[in-house]
Amino acid sequence: MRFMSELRWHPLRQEWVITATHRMDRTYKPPKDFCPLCPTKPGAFPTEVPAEDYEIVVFQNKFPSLQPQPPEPDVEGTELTPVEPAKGECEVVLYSPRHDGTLADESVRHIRNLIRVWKDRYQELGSREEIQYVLIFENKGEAVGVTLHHPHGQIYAFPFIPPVQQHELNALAAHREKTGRCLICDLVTQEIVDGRRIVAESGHFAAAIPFYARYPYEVHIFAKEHKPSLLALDAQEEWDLARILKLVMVKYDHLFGFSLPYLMTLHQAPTGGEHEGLGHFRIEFYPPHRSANKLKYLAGCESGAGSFINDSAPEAKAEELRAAGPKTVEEIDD
Amino acid sequence: MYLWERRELSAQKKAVSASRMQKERITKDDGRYLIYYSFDDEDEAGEAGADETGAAQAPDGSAGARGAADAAGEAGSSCCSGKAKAAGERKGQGRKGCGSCQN
Repeated sequence: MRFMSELRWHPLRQEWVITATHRMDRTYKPPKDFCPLCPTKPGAFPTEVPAEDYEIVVFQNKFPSLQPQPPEPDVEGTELTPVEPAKGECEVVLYSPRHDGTLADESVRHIRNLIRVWKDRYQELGSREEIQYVLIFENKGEAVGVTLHHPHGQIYAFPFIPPVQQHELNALAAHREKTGRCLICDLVTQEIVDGRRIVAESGHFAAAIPFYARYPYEVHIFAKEHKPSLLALDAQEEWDLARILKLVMVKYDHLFGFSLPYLMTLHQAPTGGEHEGLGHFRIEFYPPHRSANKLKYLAGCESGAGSFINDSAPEAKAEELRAAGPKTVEEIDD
Repeated sequence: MYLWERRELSAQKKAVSASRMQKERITKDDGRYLIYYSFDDEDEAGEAGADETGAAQAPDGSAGARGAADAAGEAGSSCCSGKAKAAGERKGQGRKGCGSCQN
């Protein structure tokens, strides 16, 4: 079978679709003893990591959607539907050599170390000429389609600004043009002044289910001050971010008494293109659960119209999360 | 390839003294790169001193990717508002205002 790997232009949505048929064969829920993300033990089968132990590891995805040297497109484009090579990079970030557990189980120090790895990858990938946006994210739990349970995240380095980020950048640019201020700085201020949707605060960050949340337990961790990306964080702010990040994840796990699945994405300034440098750092979580045993699906209205229906009030859900687990960052052990 | 082998074959080992983070990059048999990150054991207070002046400092001590403007907070030069400062003071976090303009 011949694989296809290319960018196909969606002329109605005005966005690129990544076609990557080789990903159909990616490793799917292997048994624990054959986890490809564990360290390689003597005498055992070789995993992705040729070492008996490690702290944090990053490697190129074996089944990449985007590649530094992509093949030529397998199909011909037209004026209406252009095609481009799927150039870019896809990396896997292994949080820990331990197979069982999650990022929430790691120490604050280890999460701080991970933040430094994220910084390094953002800087290195973003410095490549062809890269315009570096997306760091984690898919956690089978409810969001995870196929490997070993704790890990991913990084996609795009040769274009992805549509969600493009919408945000357009909004940021328009607000700055109109007011001279950063839109997200203003939104963070609004959330803190209101207070009802705040889940937790630290010296430099605020975690809130924002006024406009689309998922019931959608938490955003905002930098309180204007920080376009992780590169703008100093050492104290890295520790502070690690602590509030752990607090939010521990709260999630206390909410229903099980490890809550989520999508986690880091939003930062693009590293190329028209809006290079424009942005305001934050981490967004999208947990699919709307209760302990019910999931929110992207159904007809969300998928067909792009219009989200949140069947809960962010103010009420923030109150639930405030009450779940440790209350403040001071209660989080290092 | 095992741990003792990769140490011999390591093509690049980059120590980042400013952040006390080490990177060791290897090339796997199939040509893909893999990077081992390791960290010195250090406490929070010690590091805060090391980075006091380096809000814009990248892990390798440079100003950052093409994000030099980013690190300098270029986009935030006009982000401070009285509301933001008031909010920080109300919460008693000792916040002095925007990190970009230091107002």
